[in-house]
Amino acid sequence: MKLIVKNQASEVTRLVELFAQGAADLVEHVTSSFGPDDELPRAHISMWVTETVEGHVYANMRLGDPDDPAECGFMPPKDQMSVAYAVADTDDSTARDVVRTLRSRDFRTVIADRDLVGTLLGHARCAALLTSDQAKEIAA
Amino acid sequence: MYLVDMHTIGDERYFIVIDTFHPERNRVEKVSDERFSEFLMKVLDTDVPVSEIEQEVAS
Repeated sequence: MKLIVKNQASEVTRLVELFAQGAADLVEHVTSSFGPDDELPRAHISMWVTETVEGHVYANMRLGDPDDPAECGFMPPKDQMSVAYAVADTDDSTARDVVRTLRSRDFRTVIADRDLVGTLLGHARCAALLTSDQAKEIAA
Repeated sequence: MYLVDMHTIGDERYFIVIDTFHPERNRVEKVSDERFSEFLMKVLDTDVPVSEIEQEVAS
């Protein structure tokens, strides 16, 4: 059995706005918490969408090292589709690199990509459906 | 963007199909173990064109 899961164009627009706000908030956080030359090794910016069984949709954006077990709270939930954007090509990255990345045209293009954000939303919605009572309908 | 995610919960297997060009086609589909493994073999075969995989899970 199949269950159809719809995305509204307005929801994607709202998520694109939220990710842009998230990037601005991260710039503010990094500039107020670190000096420009402070090292943030292997820095990645992760973004993903979650939806609760009640239907609340959240845009998530985190900064951290995805391979550092001490940062387990940083990682997107298991089985959740996400995008991990590397700040630097090497392991060495600083707060200055992070801010430069967050303001870069390339990164802005990624977070404003409606196709990508629509995919993240669709996946989050399907994942929420699978954890809800409706999953029993699919299994029936 | 077209995405087929192969999802397992316990012993149950699902396809999550996302098509952002036709978002009304986004769906969750419960599939048999056989269908799941057949499809897995297909996507692991790099000689199979993506269009053929799209066609197979379309409708």
